Amino acid sequence: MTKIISVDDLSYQYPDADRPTLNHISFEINAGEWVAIVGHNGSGKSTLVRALDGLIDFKSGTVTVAGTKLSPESVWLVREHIGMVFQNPDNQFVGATVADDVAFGLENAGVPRPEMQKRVQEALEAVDMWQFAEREPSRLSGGQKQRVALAGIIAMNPSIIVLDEATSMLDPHGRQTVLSVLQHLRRSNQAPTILSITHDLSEAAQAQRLLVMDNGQLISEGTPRAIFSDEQLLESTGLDLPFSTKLSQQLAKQGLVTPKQYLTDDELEDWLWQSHLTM
Amino acid sequence: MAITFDHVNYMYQPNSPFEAVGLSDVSFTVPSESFTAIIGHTGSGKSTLVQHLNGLLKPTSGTVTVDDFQLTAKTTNKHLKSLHQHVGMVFQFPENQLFDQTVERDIAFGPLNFGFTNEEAMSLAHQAAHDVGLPDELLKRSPFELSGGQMRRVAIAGVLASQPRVLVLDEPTAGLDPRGRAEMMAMFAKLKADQHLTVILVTHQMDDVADYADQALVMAHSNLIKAGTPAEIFADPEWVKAQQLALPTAANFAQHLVTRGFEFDSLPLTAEQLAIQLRGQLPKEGR
Repeated sequence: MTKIISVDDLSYQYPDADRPTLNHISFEINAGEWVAIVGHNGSGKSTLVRALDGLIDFKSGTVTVAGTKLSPESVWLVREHIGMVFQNPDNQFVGATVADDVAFGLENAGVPRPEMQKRVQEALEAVDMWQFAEREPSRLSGGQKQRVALAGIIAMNPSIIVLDEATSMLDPHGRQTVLSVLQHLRRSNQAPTILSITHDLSEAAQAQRLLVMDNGQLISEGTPRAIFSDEQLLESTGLDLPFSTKLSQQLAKQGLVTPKQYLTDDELEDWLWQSHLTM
Repeated sequence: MAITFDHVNYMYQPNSPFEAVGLSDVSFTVPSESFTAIIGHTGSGKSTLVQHLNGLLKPTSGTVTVDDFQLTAKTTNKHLKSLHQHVGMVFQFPENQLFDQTVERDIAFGPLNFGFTNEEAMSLAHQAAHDVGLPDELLKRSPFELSGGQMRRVAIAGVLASQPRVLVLDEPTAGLDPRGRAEMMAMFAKLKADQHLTVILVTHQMDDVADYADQALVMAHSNLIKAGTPAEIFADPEWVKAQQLALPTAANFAQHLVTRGFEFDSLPLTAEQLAIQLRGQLPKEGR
């Protein structure tokens, strides 16, 4: 496996802050991997991904992206590898139409016009928004806006896509459409590495690996199953409990049988059915 | 305070090429001291509806009644002041509207604006800060030095300080982490009980509807398409899906169990209701 992101002993303290926001963070991400970063607000998640993109001027530790060590000289090279989608869809539009908006990054990069038009169309088709190409971005729904923001990133063909709570302001349908675009991208030949910051456990469950942040430290990492099994960790870091765990707790309150280990929602459904059949 | 919408229509930019329907013949009643959730996908008219509650928008036709105040197309702006004071609005990301040098002054801005003396306004500000769980030592700080969650509490205290009888919350927990969300929803439930508030909540979180709402209004394409208790709203999962809405997590899980031969008298909406209805359908522990 090639490492696409390596973070080594990264620390950062905002001016005027009384403690570091990032405290000796080290981790690696493989090319093509989907990793979710979870942790409560203020735990340092957003600062961490901003550090990857050179938006934070850290003094201690190193960040290496696609073989390039991040420095003031290399920051533009590093940014070519990373596309970021932020929380509020309204704050990321520059174009008068959806197509103009998606073309913005390509224009800046000096991509010739015929090539640009082709890439804009492909990107909008990938997020199922091509039919909205001539519409005003401001008139779209939240889910549609985030898909356009994602298309702007896809058009640039970065090797890494970073989503900073990109689905948190969307309605259930909008969230689902954005997640299905990501699932679709994962199956393409050039599957990008995905790094998503999220509070939504069903979104985190789709990642291959979770990084858990608390008070500026990376306190745990593991598969979604390993992390979701650790009720104490989830509660101490202010994360939600998976629904299957909440239901098991309620079953115990009613004096009913409960599984002996963490099960996903689907597995709990099976398990309850089996138990029901023994009645 | 009870609220009634009687055949309310609202047109955006009427008689222009940009004319668009905002609300179409919306009628409903919200009982005093109830908790009402407004749901519907983005662009369905939820925000247009709540902006009528304190006269930010006036109906193109029809009448909005809040207690004994009537809002119609003819209501003049100078008559809106009592409505503004009695209906507190907390918009999305309310912390973006903080502006003053100290937390205390920011919270006191509303009461000062409504004609309370400086002393009264400060006293109301301190009470409101206490009600939202802000420690006293923060009152003299700049609101901009606080964490995101604390800033949001300052903004909500600023609304509560004017002692509204109706609290309108437009996705008040957006952007908070799960613990912050749970704490804030519990805070609204407590405020409602302690101060006998009528609460209107615009939300995409169906679990919050299941956990907190007495009734829900479903908006789609500028129309009110359903009103009822959460149990009534979610009773027909096919209909819910067709509206691009989601079921509460527990109801969705219960639906799956139905296909496995479990039976429920009514669709459970919370994990607790689901566990209760599973008694008799699962073995007891230790047998």
